[in-house]
Amino acid sequence: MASVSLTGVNKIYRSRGEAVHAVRDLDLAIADGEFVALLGPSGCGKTSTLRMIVGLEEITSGEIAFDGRRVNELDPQRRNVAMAFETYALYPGFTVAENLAFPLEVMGLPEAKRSVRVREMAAMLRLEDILDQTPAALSGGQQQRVSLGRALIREPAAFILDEVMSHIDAHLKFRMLFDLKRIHRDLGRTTIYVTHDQVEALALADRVAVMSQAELQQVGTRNELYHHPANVFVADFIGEPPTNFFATRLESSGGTARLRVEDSELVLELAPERAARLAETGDARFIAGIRPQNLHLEGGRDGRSASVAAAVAINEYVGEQVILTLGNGASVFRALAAPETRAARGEPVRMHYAPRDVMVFSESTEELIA
Amino acid sequence: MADLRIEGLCKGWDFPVIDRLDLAVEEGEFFVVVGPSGIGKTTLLRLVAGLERCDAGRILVGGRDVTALPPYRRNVAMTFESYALYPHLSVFENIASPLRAQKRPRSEIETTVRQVTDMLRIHELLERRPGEISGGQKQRTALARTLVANPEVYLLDEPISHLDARIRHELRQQFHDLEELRRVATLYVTHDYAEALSLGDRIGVMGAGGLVQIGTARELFERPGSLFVAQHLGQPSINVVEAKLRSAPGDALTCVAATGDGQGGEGLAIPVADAHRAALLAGGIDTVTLGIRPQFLSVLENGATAGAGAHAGASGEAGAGREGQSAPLHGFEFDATVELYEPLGATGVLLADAGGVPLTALTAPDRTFDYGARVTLRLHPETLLYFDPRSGASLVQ
Repeated sequence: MASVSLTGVNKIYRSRGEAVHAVRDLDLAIADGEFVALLGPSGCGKTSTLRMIVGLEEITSGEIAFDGRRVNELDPQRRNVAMAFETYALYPGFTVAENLAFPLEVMGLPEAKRSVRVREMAAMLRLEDILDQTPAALSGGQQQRVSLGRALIREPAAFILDEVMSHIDAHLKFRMLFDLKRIHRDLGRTTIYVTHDQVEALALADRVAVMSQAELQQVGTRNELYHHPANVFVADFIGEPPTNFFATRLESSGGTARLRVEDSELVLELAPERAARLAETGDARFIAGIRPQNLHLEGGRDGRSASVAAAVAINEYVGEQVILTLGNGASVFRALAAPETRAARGEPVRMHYAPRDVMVFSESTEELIA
Repeated sequence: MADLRIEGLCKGWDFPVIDRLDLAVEEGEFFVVVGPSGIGKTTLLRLVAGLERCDAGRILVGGRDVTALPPYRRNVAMTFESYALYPHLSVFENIASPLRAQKRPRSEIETTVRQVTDMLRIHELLERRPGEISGGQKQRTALARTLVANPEVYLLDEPISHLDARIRHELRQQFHDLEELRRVATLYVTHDYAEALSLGDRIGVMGAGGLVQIGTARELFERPGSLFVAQHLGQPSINVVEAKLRSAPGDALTCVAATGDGQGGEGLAIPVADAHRAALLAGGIDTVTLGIRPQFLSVLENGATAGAGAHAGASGEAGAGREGQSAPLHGFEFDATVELYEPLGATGVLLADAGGVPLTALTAPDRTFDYGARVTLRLHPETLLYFDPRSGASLVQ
């Protein structure tokens, strides 16, 4: 196993004489045995990054190193990276056991050792009962597990997974996520997981690298991304329903400071230390963000000392919870409520929140201030 | 304005994709069909649109039999999962195309397109080509084109499932708000259960051959008619546990869960709620499939409530009271060992082993549970669902 480091990595494609910057000045260090997810919307540069690590794409500038050794010039086979794709790419004429054994055969491992390794891998991935079947007879989830097993069995320097869950039906997905997590816990392999799905990234990875428009926005644990998003993009992209944002103006009176939302009657209270940080910037206008799950119909506990008034616009029952879309003036925002909430359209409500849950971003740079 | 009626619709013979499907979507109704991928949802829409021929049955729009009519004479409009925009035409021309086909005067086309694009907030993109706009903008362009056609029936195929969370929630809001959609019959297809529950006046869950249950969001989620429906609504999906019914002292009834595959352990005995006892005894069976929703399993630690279901941030007794609804405050408690815990932002997911029975529980976020730790789980027997192990049909309604 190996550590993987990217230093000042750029990828520029030339298309019809125009330069398209797909990855810009990317620095990322992945420790030996770490599970890192590359997360971002389509076109953010995550797939280009992955292809450069694997060796399928030339690195325009910068360096990629495994265990401190530069691999820029090595072709894919010599990098010893195993990859599993969105599509399973299994050999249709081979049984599951043969598919699993194939990479070992290529490596020249003797038959006896191959079958031991195949049995170990089958046990780990719950494939024992289907070793003699061919891929056509398997469900999508089973095929995906075989494909994972074939990538894992080689004991590569790093293990790379590209959108491997996108075709798995939602109700099977959690099971698969937990399988992957367990395998990583048992094997401790350096793993890079590429996805556009935040639930997958947050569930699996030790750290998540969020990309947008060719640039790395933030690398962090899920708590860091969730509670201290580096900027508006990360706060918006992580969390569902997405964070509510408001254009606000700082208002100080009698030693307390608050944010007055433009275009509505909303006023957001600030924790004192946060208010002090805002005053230091010398700015007057800020972007405030509050997550839907931090706005509550009930107040009076967990530090929910402040509240805003609003009228219910939409009550969406989604089974485990209700999503309320609320309005106040021109401000529209969402809150989560318990599933039996029956608030009807137009009903006035008061939403309670803890001032510490109000995130504040610079209006000009969109970076987190406090 | 009209309703949509589907009678005895069939597609395919030996292994029919759709087998004698009946459905009535009322004027003004937003009907959502939800189901796993590949089950035939898109085929159903294409049959109604006239893009595929049905093998039997009738399709009526406003009482008029359109089964034999070509698509353009059915007065239905469909949006496709792949958008299907004309790449060489501007956004304006794409949206105007159905109006041009109807030979409307230029001024009217202009006004109609402006109105719909203002509403969908794509009015600044009118001169762009589809290749120059984002996926969400393409989706709204395709939706605008469907809306201006002013049909009697709207057919919408996975119109928002592939978009990022923000735009998905915005479009969901627009579907709730669009008066146009509330005046006609709409048939909307998705694989996303949350989207289905959110949008549908009524929802049909599609299984092999047709709709296995039709109801409102609350009916389907709280009282699924079968294990299939229960498993397809909810994430993480419902815990499914095979169990035996056993009489306990007095007239009590207990269900004893068998242990998971090869896990060992002593199993798990859960009391049956009074409200369910009669129905289970009347069934005359001794084995059942138990369904336990992850949000109805509270995780207690050191005697305090640690989990409070999907309602993020909620903790303490308020959460527990909510879950039980009319249930007594103190539910049934049992011990389990933590296998995995995933805080997912708005919620946390705990995978635990209770006497060899694997269970998933939904918790409040920002908890920590260590691998191998002992926790106490609590559930209210009233929240359990019971299914026939052979047919999968619900045993208690």
